[in-house]
Amino acid sequence: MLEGLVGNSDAYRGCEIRPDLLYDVERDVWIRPDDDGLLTMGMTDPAQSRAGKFLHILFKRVGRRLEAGQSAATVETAKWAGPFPTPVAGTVVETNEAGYAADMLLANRDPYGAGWLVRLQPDAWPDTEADLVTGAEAIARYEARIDLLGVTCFRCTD
Amino acid sequence: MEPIRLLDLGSVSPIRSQSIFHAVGHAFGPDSPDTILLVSPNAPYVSIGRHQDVEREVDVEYCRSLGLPVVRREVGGGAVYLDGNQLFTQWIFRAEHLPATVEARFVVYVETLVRAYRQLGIAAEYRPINDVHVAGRKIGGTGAARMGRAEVVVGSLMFDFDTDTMARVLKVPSEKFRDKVRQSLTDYMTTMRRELGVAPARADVVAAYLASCAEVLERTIEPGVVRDDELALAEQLDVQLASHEWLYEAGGMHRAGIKIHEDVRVGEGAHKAPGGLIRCVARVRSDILDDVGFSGDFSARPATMPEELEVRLHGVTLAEPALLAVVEAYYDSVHPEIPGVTPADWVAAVLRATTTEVPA
Repeated sequence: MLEGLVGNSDAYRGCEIRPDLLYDVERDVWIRPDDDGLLTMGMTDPAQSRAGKFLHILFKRVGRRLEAGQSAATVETAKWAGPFPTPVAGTVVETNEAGYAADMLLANRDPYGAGWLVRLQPDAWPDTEADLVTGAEAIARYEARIDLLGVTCFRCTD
Repeated sequence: MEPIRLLDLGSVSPIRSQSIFHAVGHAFGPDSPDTILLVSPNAPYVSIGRHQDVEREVDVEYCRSLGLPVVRREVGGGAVYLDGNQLFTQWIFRAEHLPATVEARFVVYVETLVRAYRQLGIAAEYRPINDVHVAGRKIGGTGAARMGRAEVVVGSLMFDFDTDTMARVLKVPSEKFRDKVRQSLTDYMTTMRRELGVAPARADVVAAYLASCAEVLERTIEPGVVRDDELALAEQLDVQLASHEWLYEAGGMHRAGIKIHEDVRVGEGAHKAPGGLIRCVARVRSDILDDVGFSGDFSARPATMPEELEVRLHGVTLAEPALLAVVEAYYDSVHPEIPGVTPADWVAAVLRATTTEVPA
């Protein structure tokens, strides 16, 4: 019963950190390794909350190879612009351009689901260079970071 | 916490007034100091937002004829005309040293501008989310971006502003629209010169601003120097930020209409009525139709039409029922002869001009 209530996620100061995903905590990026060998990635709940409502995204082209830390997309919100950095080197295979064209607030509504940004073919996987964490460690690191930054998360529901 | 490094670079080339804060942001390393950059351009130029298309937003030919450089910044927002009458105040800080959310960051940043203006005798106020107002008029502009490890917040202290040239460099749908933008900039923007009668000395403004920063941030500010790696990167960015490739990178973001300040915007739209095309230029202030003008190929009598209708619509709440009630009342009292144009057509034209989203 308790498990049913909590589901597979924990909320801390309103921020959802799903234990089943991988995270680059410093870059505020989540990664989901898929069965086809690709990595789906997006902005975390704290990241979308900090940035605010999306206005525009410019994606790197499919086929573009990126080093770790390079921007896979640039995001402009009402009052801020910034990169979406990939924690892992690889090649852009797919972007969620069509999804965002239909609804620019996808990441603000559903950052871990419909709000994904890019799918990447990693150069190497698992990537031993990337500082990725998951499960209880991810939640602990995020709780510390959320406290440090004083973030409270919020979602768009309209 | 470490002292904040102050880089007061005085007057630099237009492109350098942009490239230097981008360079300090992208060169920000684990040991880099939080930095406040103060700089003014030594010649006028036009700066467009991160995702704007230059051809769509700027009258490129006009800028070329005046020798005005056009630069695309990594900070969002709209196209602006900038010149030496502004002192840019650029913060390049470690992300953890500023409030986590963009809104909270602006509260701190704008507070330093407000306090500086007040020290100079200008009754400035914070206007959420990121504006400074003086009696309802906006003074200066602000923006924010992430660059590498640094969070960047930029803005300006405005000595004076050339509203004519600002209105001229923008690409607009019509000259009528341009006039409305120019008038709106005059009505809803202000400067230190306008408030004080004379622009204060730069040194006084810098002193007031730095005192405000030290107070608000509760940090020490120490003059420093630009590092070699930052300077080298700025030299590269001098080329890149104004390069054809970067300017014409398909940004794709287009906001119909022009935002004058948080509450005021100017828009244009057209509606095809059976009796002809109705073009409408409208200014909206806090959801009130502040000013409206109609043109088009409809034929109308009496000769006071459409001016009389424009006057009646002034001050009406921007909502279909309220607008329709006013236009219907006008039709009932004046009985104008406008074949193929009903009250609903005028309302449709107003809504076309005003409801296209102009984000903050």
